[in-house]
Amino acid sequence: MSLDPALRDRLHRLLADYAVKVRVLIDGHGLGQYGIDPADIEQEVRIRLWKALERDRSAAFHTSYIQRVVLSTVIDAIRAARSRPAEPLPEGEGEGSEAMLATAAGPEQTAGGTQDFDRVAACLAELPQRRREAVALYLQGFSLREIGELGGTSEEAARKLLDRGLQMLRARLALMGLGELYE
Amino acid sequence: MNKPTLANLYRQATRDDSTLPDADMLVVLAQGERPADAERIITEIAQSALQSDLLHFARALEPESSALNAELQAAFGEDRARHTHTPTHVAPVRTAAGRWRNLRRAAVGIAAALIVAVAMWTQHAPSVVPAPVAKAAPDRIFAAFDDRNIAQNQSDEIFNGSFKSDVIFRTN
Repeated sequence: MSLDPALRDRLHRLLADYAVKVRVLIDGHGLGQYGIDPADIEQEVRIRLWKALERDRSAAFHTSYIQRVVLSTVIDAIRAARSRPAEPLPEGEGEGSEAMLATAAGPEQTAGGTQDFDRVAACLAELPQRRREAVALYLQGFSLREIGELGGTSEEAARKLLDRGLQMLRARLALMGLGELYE
Repeated sequence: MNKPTLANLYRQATRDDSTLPDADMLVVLAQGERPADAERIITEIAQSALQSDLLHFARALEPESSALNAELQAAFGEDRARHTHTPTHVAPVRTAAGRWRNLRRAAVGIAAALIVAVAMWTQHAPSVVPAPVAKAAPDRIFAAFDDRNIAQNQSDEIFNGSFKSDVIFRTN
């Protein structure tokens, strides 16, 4: 594609600005915990969008297409991170390694957490399906409006499902001695 | 260490999920639409911190992507407008020049076609083979005086050897 140099510069600037925003969003949503490097994603998004623009100008005009390019980049990066072998801890950095280990959960804590989760999961399983789903989505951080959209209901209906579901869950957790999770 | 809340505990326990979502499906959900097998997909999302995080991210991405879309359209639109803009007083001159140019092209084309036709005709026309030069024969008027003919000719009929005497003077 032959582009006017001024237009080319402008497009490069637009994509670079957008890629920076993507990076900020990745950081803000804590996607780095899945082993991806936000700086790599920023660069890759810019490259993929530019290539898409070179292939077909109209393709890059759709908002959903831009979203798809970014999401594919992130998902590919997570997949690649998972397939990478775990890197060993660097030697000779005793203080750093100790500090890292100190912040991580110990085996007892991890085992305790798993036990607690098993009991929470058992309590959740006793809820009717729609209430269970509303509660689970709420615990995953979705708002009432989003829960309503995902469940195909209104926000008000989602609120009722969630309230009843949480009441039932609280009662069951209290019976199992996990009432403090609600404090 | 912070006391774990129910949400933290739930998210921590559902963090390690092996299933990676489909980007198209995330886009559909982020736009507030429900895919065909929505029940299964939403159950998966509810049980996966990773898929939930990606859906949150996809939703947050929407306004920025929409803004980029608008900016790209504006950039291309302005570029197109800059290149297609033509002052009105120039148009007739350009049209006349264009017509003259077309006529010239047509004339050159016809001339070239003629040259080619002539060249082809010249190549394919029956070749004129020069006739062999005939030996000059002596004119018929003077043929009788040709020495060669005289030598070859037989004796005249009058003086032919078969002369016979007159029958009138024959004695017997």
